Amino acid sequence: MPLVLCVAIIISCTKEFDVPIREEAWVPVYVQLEDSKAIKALEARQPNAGGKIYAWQEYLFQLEPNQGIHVYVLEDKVPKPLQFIQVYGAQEIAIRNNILYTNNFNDIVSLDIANLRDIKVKSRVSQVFDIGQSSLPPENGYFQCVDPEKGIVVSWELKTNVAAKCRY
Amino acid sequence: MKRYILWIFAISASSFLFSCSKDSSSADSGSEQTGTGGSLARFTIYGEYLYTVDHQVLKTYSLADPEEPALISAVNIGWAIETIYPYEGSLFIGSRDAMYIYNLTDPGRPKQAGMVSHVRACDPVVADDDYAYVTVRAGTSCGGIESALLVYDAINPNRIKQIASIPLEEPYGLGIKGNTLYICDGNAGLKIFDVSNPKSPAVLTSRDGYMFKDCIPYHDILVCMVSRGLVIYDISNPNNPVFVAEIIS
Repeated sequence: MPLVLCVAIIISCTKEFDVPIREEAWVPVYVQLEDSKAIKALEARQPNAGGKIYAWQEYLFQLEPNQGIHVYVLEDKVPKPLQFIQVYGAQEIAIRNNILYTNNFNDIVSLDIANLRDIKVKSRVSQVFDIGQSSLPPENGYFQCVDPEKGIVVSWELKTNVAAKCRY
Repeated sequence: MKRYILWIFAISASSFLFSCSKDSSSADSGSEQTGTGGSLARFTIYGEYLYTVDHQVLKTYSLADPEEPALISAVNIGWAIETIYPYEGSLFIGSRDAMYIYNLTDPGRPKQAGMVSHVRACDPVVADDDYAYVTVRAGTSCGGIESALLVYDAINPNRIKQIASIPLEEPYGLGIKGNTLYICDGNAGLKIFDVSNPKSPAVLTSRDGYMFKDCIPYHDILVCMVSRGLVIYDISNPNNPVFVAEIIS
């Protein structure tokens, strides 16, 4: 009996350590639920994936899928980076009368963009838009499985020499 | 100026795209108050309403109070719904298997007016006054084996017939400005066609260097969604896009 117990403990201990180290694997980036709903104007940044586009007055917008919205102002046909609006989970955009509608995961939020430097969240309609947020990384490969206890996945990073069990 | 409805139907393993694009900025009678989206949208604004589609449900929100969208109706319209585009009092909604037309006589409560699926699965049929332009992309779950631009005579929406087919490589979205059709043919580039005779779209020119996914003709520029960013062309001469700028990662 004691022998079986020892063996069982050894097996369960090694299980925690036997997640293989991969040369390269995707690692999810988590934020806490409250932070995942925070919408803010940040400094302009380079695009990454190049998502859906939208045009309104003298501005162009490009989604950075699941991250937010790049805002450009057209100056004589040349887009100049203005800012980046953080909206985790964002996939869509539409604008009318100075109000920008986008999705923050499954919620539709209305943003007053009359003054782009001072964006105000006007309303949130919760749990109305569900196109499925992926728990998979952007590309095939090994990845650390998503653990919902750690928070909401907002992006993925490709790391080297990291333990990862899942594969896509 | 004749206006065409542009229907984009791209069949892919992961999505079915339907979209429509024209050269002016909105369905709001020329007002700049409403912006212009591309062909891949799931959100669209027409008149005083925001329409959204997820995989199955079309929802309509009143924007009478712009800061507080109010849900007016929700209707389950099918499955694998991909895109939405409004035109002339109707909503054209693309899914993997069909194209649905919803009537906006009562804009808060779209009503299904028609549905078209085709012999060749995943080919969209969209009705406009006269013609419809569609891209289909091969190698997808719809079983399509052809990548092409298809042109349909849609004068009689009950008897839509294909009148032209132009092979393409891997087409995604598209846009139109007058008689110039811009097709985002993925890694094969941006293809520009003259469609003054819709039965014979004629290749005018092309641009490459990017993986083109969608484009919006917007005033005198063509805003292109490409892999990793966006690219702008000057289309003061619509048939000759001139590179202006890129914003690429």
